[in-house]
Amino acid sequence: MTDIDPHIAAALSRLHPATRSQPDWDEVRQRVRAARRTATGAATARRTPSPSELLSHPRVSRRATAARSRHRLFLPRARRSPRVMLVGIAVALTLAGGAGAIARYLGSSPGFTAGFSAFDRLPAATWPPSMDRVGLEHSAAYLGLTPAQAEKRLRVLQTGLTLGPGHTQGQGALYAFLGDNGTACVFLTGQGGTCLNEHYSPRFPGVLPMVLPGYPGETPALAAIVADNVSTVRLLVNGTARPLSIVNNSVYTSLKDIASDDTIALEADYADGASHVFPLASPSRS
Amino acid sequence: MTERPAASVAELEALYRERFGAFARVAGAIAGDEQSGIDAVQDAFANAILGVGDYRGEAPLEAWVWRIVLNAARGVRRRERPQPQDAFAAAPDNGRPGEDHEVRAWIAALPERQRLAVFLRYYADLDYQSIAHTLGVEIGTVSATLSAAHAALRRSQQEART
Repeated sequence: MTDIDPHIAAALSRLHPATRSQPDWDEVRQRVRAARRTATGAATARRTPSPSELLSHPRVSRRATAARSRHRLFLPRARRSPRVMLVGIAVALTLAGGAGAIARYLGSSPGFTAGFSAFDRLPAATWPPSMDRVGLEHSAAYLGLTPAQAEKRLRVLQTGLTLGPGHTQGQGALYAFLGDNGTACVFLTGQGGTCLNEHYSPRFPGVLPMVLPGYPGETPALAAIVADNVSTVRLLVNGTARPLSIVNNSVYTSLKDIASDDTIALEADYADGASHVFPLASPSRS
Repeated sequence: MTERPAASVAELEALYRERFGAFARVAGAIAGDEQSGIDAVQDAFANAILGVGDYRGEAPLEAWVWRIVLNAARGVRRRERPQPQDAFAAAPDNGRPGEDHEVRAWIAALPERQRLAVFLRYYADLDYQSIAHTLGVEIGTVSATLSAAHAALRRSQQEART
């Protein structure tokens, strides 16, 4: 690494050290076999975002299980009678639409194209002194903005949030700024933030959620920004819905009563009548 | 009519075993974590086997496979939900990113071609010619791309120090 400062070179090495995993050619061959088996239904066979998470939700489970069982119809066989082939083709054409729908359901979304009216309505905010300013700089760079540009777009979406016994009650505030082309960053004071940039195709249409694990003295929480086309949002805990209030294009709720083995998801209804369920990682308990 | 160079599954397997560490490291850097990178490499080689008949020999076999690996890793990154630590904070340092977080942000801020060139050069130890084959650019472009990336990283470092 002669051209790069050794300081950066060392950090690069630490960021992504050499793997200790061993090559597993059998795994590659298994994937080849799986791909060949599902060649006629590739849309659902492709590795979609965390399918095991998605399958945990009853609504998705029914659809995906059905899709999987359909795949069994398409296992390649050495010989098929013409009648079986005709039936197979007809079924394949019928199910192709269904597979496409499932792929759209599981796949990437167009991002935040619906807009966030609260960001137009609310005044610009200054970066909170309780958060390290380097966070603004990093996240701005992440969206291709300068810190000044990012701060100009910064808005306080919610205040008075309870962050846990390690903080003053009601001290928490939810901040966010929008980038260009459907990108955004969201921050909860004292806990952290997350961003979507152009390298991600947001998996959750119109919703940027963030599960904060709750470090010692902090309350595990779910915070999210939601676009204007999202009408209602619910937290699903083991399939049971808890309505969440949308305040200034955002939602916040404590997850302190969520056990580590609970299954949680966010369910959003859209202005066009659609509804999506977004599985979330349970907050880790320390 | 030129004869198409043969590439066999055995050659792919040999390449996989010989260069797995480099493929996994670069793919992990693109995808965001080691396991996702390994997953991308497995997918990429499966795709390479399925598409080995498409290899035309216009570039070395390794460069052809590198392109598939890069695409697979980028696909993983696009599909997977970003975690809080992707931005900053919410990491064990709880809102006070350290030096490595800074470097991560600087790398993330590089244009994609520069970032890939840096990964291929420093994580896979590819020479300029191999990077050129992989990225489908001239060797001079690789040199200029890496030079620009180095300058940007140095500039970020200097700004952070002032």
